[in-house]
Amino acid sequence: MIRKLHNALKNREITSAELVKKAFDDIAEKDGEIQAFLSLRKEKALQRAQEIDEQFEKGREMNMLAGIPYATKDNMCVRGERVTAGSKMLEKYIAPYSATVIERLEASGAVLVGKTNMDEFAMGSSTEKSAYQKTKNPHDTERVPGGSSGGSAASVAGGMVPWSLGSDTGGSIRQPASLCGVVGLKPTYGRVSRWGLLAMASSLDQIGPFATSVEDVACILSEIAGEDSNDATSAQSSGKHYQNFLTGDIKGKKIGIIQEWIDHKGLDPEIRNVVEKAIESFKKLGAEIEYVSMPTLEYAIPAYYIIVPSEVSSNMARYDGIRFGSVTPDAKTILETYTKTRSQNLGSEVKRRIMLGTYTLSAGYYDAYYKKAQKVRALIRKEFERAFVQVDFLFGPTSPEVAFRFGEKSKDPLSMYLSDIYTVTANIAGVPAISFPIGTIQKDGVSLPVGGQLMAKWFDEEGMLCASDAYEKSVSL
Amino acid sequence: MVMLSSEEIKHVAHLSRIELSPQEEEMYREEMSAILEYVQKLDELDTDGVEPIGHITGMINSYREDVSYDGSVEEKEALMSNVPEVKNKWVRVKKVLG
Repeated sequence: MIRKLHNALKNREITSAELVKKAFDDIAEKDGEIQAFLSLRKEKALQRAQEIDEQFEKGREMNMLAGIPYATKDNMCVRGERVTAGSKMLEKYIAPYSATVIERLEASGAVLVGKTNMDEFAMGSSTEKSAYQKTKNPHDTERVPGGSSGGSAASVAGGMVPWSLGSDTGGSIRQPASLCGVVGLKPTYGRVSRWGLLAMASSLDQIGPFATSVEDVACILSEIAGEDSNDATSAQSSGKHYQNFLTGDIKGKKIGIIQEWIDHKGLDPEIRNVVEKAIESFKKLGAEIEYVSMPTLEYAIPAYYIIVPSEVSSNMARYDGIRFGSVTPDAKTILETYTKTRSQNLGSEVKRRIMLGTYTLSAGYYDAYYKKAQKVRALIRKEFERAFVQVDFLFGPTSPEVAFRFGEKSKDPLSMYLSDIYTVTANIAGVPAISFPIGTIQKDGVSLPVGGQLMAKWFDEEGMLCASDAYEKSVSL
Repeated sequence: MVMLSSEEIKHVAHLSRIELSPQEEEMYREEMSAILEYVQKLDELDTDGVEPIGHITGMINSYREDVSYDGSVEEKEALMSNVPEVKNKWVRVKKVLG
């Protein structure tokens, strides 16, 4: 869609102002029901669109994203604008600076129209944990959009913006992409700067795009990737244009299917059928399919649920009522300021993770929990290294189930955690992963999307995008 | 079976600077115990002699020049405008001792 819009803008068949106005019209018409957006910036967006239009008029060579509207998850800072992270804690917080991704996109000429709903501080898999509103899945408004980037996924799936940004710590881009029937990309850890992203679990967090095609996410990645002196974990990059690697040719490439994942008892058998059809499509494209065993991967989820709360407990310590939060008139001492601010402004999932992490990092338990989990992570990494000697990519389902109903999992935190079984592994190992639509299944008379996930070697986004794009083109022909 | 005691929950809540009602205390005690029980699965793996992960893609150190950045007046104002209580351009806090 981005290439088509870019060409239309270049040939002056359409203006950026028209595209941006249309986005706001679509939001006005649809978002009352979908509730994807937490804030909108109509005046600023229209003004920016006019500036971009003037440059197009002058015949300037413009960036692929220039003049095209987009939305971002509300955990990324935009200078002078509210950033809530879906929490009451930051209800009035105005970002003093912009995230690196936002600055890069501003320089590209992309037009930000608003910020989207999310689970509080990105902790959740359904967007039900937002302190503000419940975002609906555009395919069935009685079901969740997935999470934690549910607002960003629904804004694209609902046809309100062509693309959006999310963040992914254990599947928060790929799982909602799967449940909403769009493409979602989590780059290699370090590929995209996290400066200006409100931290959740710093050794896992990564920013990435949602869009309606693989080519679109490739175009967006080209703009947001690269080293940043403000994020010491960001990796060097040669300024690749990922969209130029989409040759459609994957003949002779080896795609591994993880036997334990396809046989997992939690996997909906209908999703398994859809995945097997996708495997046949890859075969028709000339890819070789190999079944691989990766028995250590089942330890990714328990490792994840030690690492995440531990890092959360550390990252959330800053929300103390002194630099963040609001005045606590009933507090008499500084300790009461901390305690009352945190108790009144944080939701139950955030509190649960802070306390769990405080426990796992506390004296006498650090070795048994956090250090153990980081060792398990080393074993999982080794297992990926072995697998990638044998195959180029790993393919399987993104989520064990399609979009579930509101409230279905919110009572039992463990069952919510298990909806991430196929996604957390890529974060634990740091590898890039993408979810793209591979079919639909019927539930209660409604057709619901199914996503397939492809993982690749560290920093092989171009190969992964090429294979995903080849699949996408072969099924739409 | 891991079962956190009521005292352990109270202690962890205190360290976390979170106040719990008796009902919340019981709820978190059960939920956190179930999660800790679940993560014990990691004990099935032998990790003796395994080096824990530092940075997942193997990055070692990342250096920058050791120079201070003072920031502009506007940047300072933007930061201070988010502070709940300010007095004479200083962050105001409640009594620290006793």
